[in-house]
Amino acid sequence: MSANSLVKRNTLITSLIYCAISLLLFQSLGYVFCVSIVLVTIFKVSTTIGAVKNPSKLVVNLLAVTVIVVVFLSLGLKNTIEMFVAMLIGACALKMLQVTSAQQATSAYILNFFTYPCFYLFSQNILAFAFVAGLLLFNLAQLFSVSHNLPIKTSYKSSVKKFIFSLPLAVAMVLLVPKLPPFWQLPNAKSANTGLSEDVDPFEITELSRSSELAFRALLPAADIFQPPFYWRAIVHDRFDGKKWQMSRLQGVGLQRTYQPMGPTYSVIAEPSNTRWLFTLGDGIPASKGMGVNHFGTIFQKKLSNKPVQYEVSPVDLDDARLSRWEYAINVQLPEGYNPQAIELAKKWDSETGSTQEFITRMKSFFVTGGFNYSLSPPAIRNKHNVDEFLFSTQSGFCGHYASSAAFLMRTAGIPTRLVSGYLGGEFNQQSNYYAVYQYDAHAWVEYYVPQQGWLRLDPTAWVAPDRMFGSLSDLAELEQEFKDNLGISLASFSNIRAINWVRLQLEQLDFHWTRWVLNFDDKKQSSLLKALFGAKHNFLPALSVVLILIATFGGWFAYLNYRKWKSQAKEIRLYNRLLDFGKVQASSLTPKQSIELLKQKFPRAQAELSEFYTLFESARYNTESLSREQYKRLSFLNRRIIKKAKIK
Amino acid sequence: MNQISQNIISKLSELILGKDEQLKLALCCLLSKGHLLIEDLPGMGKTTLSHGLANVLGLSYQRVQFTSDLLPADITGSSIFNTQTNSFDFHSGPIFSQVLLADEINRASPKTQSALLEAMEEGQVTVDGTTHTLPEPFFVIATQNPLHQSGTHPLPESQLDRFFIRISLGYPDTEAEKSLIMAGNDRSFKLEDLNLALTAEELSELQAKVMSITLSEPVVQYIIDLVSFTRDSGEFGDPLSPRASIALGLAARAYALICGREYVLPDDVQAVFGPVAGHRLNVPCNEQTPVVESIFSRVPVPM
Repeated sequence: MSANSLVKRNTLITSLIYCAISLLLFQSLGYVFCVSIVLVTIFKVSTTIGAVKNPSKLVVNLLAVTVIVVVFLSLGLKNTIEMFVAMLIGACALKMLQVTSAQQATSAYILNFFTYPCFYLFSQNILAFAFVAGLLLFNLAQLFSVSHNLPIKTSYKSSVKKFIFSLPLAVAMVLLVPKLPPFWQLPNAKSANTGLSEDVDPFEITELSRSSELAFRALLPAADIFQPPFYWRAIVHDRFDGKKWQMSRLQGVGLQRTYQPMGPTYSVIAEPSNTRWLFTLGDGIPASKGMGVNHFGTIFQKKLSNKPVQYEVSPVDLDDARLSRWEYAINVQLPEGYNPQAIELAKKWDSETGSTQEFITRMKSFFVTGGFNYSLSPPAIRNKHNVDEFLFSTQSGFCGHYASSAAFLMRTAGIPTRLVSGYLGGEFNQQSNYYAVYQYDAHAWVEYYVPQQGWLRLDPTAWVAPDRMFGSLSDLAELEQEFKDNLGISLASFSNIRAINWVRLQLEQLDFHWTRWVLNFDDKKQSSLLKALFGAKHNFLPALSVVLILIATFGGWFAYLNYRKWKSQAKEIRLYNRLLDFGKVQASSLTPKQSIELLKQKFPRAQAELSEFYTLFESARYNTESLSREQYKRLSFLNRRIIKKAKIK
Repeated sequence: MNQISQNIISKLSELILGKDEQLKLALCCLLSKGHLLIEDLPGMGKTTLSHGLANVLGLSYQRVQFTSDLLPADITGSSIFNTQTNSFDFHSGPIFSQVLLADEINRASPKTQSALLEAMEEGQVTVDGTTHTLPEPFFVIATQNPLHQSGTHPLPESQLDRFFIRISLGYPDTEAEKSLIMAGNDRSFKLEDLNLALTAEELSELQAKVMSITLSEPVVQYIIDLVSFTRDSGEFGDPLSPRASIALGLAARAYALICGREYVLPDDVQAVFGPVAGHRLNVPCNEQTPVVESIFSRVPVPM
C-alpha cells in the first residue's frame, strides 16, 4: 500500500473516532458542537472517497473559526473543561481534514495521546477505561503505521506486543512509585447530571427514578447496627418556602463535640455527583481526609471531585436530645398563605390529639385509608397550594410528595420536622459483599423532633407502599412495569432476563473493583500496600522492586528480540551455530568450511559426522535446493551425535 | 564437466609443476572470459604457462614480445598500399588470434599498452577508420615483470582493471624444482606433447555453465561486505569498483565449477578474492597474501 493511501485510510479512521468521542460526550459538549463535528467528519469521509476536493487552507481556517464560535456560543466560558475539550477535539478533527503527509499525521497521532485521555475528565468507570485504553492502543498502531509505512494490521500487532511488554512496568510504576500530589489541576468537569439536589421540589424527584446510574457503593461490615431498611442520609432540608425544601444556614454548623463510634466503620465509594453531600447510614462522622461533617451528622466533601470518592464512616449517635430555640424556630417555620386546607386539617388533628405520637398515628390512618396510591408518574401539580392539591385531589405520588406533605402537616402542628433526602435500599452483590445503590433508589423522608429522644425518622411513603422499605426499587414487583417504563432502555430494565442480569451484575462487580482498587489507589492505600507487601523493609524494597521490574521488562524485551532473530534463522544455521558455540569457535570471520575444519581438529573423534554434517549444511545453505525432512532430521541427529562424541574425553 | 576441468588442470600441472592453485585460477579466468595477467620475475614459467593454457584449450595463439620500441601497429596490423588494386589493404597484426600472449607487457610504452587494452575491452580493433572484429573467443594472457625491474612502464589503474585476474607463480617447491632440473631444457617437447584437452564447443559449453552455478544470497552478501570493507576502511587508495564486484561473483562461480560444485561457497570467494582484487587495489604481488588475509580476518562471513 502506498504511503499516501495509508495516511488517507488512517486519518479517516481517526476522524470517525473523534466523531464517536464527541457523540459519547454529547451531554457535556452539547448538541451544537457534536453536530458540527459530525459535519466535519462527513466532510472528511467525502474527501476520502473522492466526492469532494481536499479543502484549501482558507476553507479549513474558516471552518476553524466556525468551530471556535460554536464552542463559545454553545459552551461559553463558564464550563472551562468542556470548552477546553471541545476545542481540542474540534482542532484535531479539523487537522484530519488537512493532513496529507505522513509527517503531519505523525504529529497528530502524538497529540492524540493527550486528546484521548481527556475522555477520563468525564467518566472514569471501567468501560470508559477500556474504551480509552483501546483507543490509545489503536493510536499507537496508527502512529507506527503512518511513520513506518506499515499496514495497520501489522502495526497493530506490534503495538499490542509493546503494550503487553510495558504492562508490568506500568503496574509497577502505579503500585510502587511514590505518589506525589499534582503540581497543577484542572477545574473539575461538571460530569454528574444526576444525583440529589440541595433544593427539593417534591414534584421534581421523578427524574431520579428514570436513571439506572450508580449512585454509590457501600461495604458494610457484619454488625447488628447495620440492618435493613437502609436509609442513606445525604441532605437535610430544613427550610420550606412553599414550593421547595431548601437548606438553611444551619448546614454550615459543625459538630459541637467529639463522639465515640458505636460500631465498626464502613466504607462507601461515591460516584461523582454535583453536590458535595455524601451518604451515611443514620448519623455518621467521617474517618477519611477531605471530608467534613455538620451537626446534622451529614458528611460532605470539602472539595467537589469529579472522580469517585472513597471514604470511611464511623457510625455515631448524635447527642441531639436538646433543641436550641433558634433550631426549634427554624424547624417549625412555614411560609404564610399556603395550603389553607392542609393547615386546617393539621390544626384539627392537633387539637384532637395530645402527643406527637398520637398526631402521627392520626396522620398515618389518614394516608392509609385515604385512598392514596404510590406512583412514579403522578399527575403534575402546578397549583400554588400544592400540598392541598396532593392531599385532597390527586392523592397520587411518590416519596417526595408524601414526605413533603407529612412535614408540612407536622410543622403546622408545631412539631419540629425536617425533610431528608438520600437513598433507600441497595442491591446486594453476593460475590463481592457490597451494596450497590442506584439513582433510582433515591428517596425522601422526614425526621421529627421529640424532646428527650432527639430526632426520629418517619417515612410516610412506607404507609402507602410498605414494600418500598425493603430492597431496591428494582425488586418491587408491583411497580416493576411502571418502573421500567420510566427507566428507558438500559441493562437494568432487562433484569428479568437472567443472562442479561448476570452480565449486568458481573460488569457492575468489575466496575466496583476497578473503582475501589484502581481509581481510589491513593498515597494512603499505596503505603499500606507497601507495608503489607514488604513489611518493615518497605523503605528500600519498593525501589529495589522497581529496578528489578525495569530490568525484567527490558530484559524480556531484548530476550524476545533475540528469540525472534534466532527463530528467523534457518534450522541448519541454528544447528551450525550450536556446534560453534559448543566447540567455542570464534567463527565470525571464518567460512563454515574453515570452522568445521577447526572443529574436526578439536574433536577428532567426530570427524566423520562433522564431514557429513558439513556436506548437508553446505548444500542447504549455499545451494538453492532445500533439504528434505529426512535430511533435516539427519542434520539434527548428526548435531547431537557430534556433541555427544565430543563430550567423551 | 568436473572431469574436463580436472583433465585440463592435470595436463597443465605436468608442465607447471606444483602450482595447481595458480592453474585453477588461470583456468577460472578463461572460463569467465576474462583476461589474465601473470606477474612474476623472469624465468618463473610465466610464458610456459600461457603457452600451455592456449595449447590445452585448443586455441590459435600468437605471441608478442613487448619491448619499449613496439608500436601499436605492430600489434593491431596496418594498411599497406597495394599497387595492383590502387588501394590500401589491411594486414592484420598478431592480435587477430584467439589467444594473444603479451609477454612482458610493462616493457612497452603506454601508447602501445593502451592500444592493446582497448582491444581487450571492446573486442575489436579500429585501424585507419575501419573497424575489425577480433576472433571469438579472444583472450589476452599478459605477463609482466615486477615493477621494480628496470625498463618497465607500470600499467595505469584503469588498464589494470581490464585484467580479470592477476596471478603470480612464485618459486617452485624443492620437489618440483628437482624434477625441472632432471628434465633439463626439454620444455618445447613437453609443450607439443600436450594433447587437446577440449574442443571449442566444450570450451563454450564450459563458459556457459559458469553462469548456471548457484550464487546464494549469503555469498553475495559476503562479496558485498568484502568490497564495502575496501571502500569504508580507508586503508585503500583505490577501493573496489562495481566491476570488481561483478568479477568476484563471476570468478567465484567459475572457481566453484572447476572444483566440481554446483554452487559457490564463501571459500570460493576467498580463493578468488586475492587474484581478482589484488591488482585493482594496487597491492603489489608480494604483499597480496597478508593484505587479503587481514581483510578476511576483519570481515565476518555472513550466515
